Amino acid sequence: MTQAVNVFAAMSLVPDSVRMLTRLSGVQYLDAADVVNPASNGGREISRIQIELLAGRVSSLSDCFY
Amino acid sequence: MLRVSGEFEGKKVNLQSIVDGAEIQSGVPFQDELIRFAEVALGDDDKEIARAREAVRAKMGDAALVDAAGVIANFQRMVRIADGAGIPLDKPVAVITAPMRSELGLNTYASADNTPALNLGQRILGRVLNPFLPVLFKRLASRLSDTDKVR
Repeated sequence: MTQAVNVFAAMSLVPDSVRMLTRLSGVQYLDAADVVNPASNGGREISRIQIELLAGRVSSLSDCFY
Repeated sequence: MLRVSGEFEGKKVNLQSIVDGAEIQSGVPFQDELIRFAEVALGDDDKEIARAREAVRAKMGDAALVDAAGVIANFQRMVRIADGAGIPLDKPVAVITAPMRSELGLNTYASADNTPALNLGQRILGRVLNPFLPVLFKRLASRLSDTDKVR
């Protein structure tokens, strides 16, 4: 059995919200399969380390531990 | 993921830049423009946002600007979901990222309270696994790639 990550599990009482989040994240960030593959930038114009630098800086500025 | 993806690209990335911004040389190409864009995008100064946006566009191009804006938007949303719901960090992630979180001071964030403290065994496991993270991700990526081929 596959364990959903907590951010998806937290929304799972409203399945459409999970579907929406998955699709939106795939457009704005990366598809789920690409997230765990550090060699992939999902075909973006910016490299994976540039993507992760942005992700990390935004999360840090928001004091996001998750 | 920044550290691991950096190793995949053959770059040593200074993670402190995530916490301290552009004062730290991260080793990531165009870090100054990207970090500045991320920082002002979280504020409400339209002129600063326009300036930062133009800097990214001038150095990296239109498509890169769109992709960068998408990532910023995505993680602003994720923060709201994660901290709004008060969810804990997933246990495997909590274990393997423990050394990094400690080094960067992330445990001082208020939302860190949502994640139960690791016990001694888990902290030791995190330290032991830490050097092998790139290898673990490579194996995972390889497995995912094989799964795609089967599909």
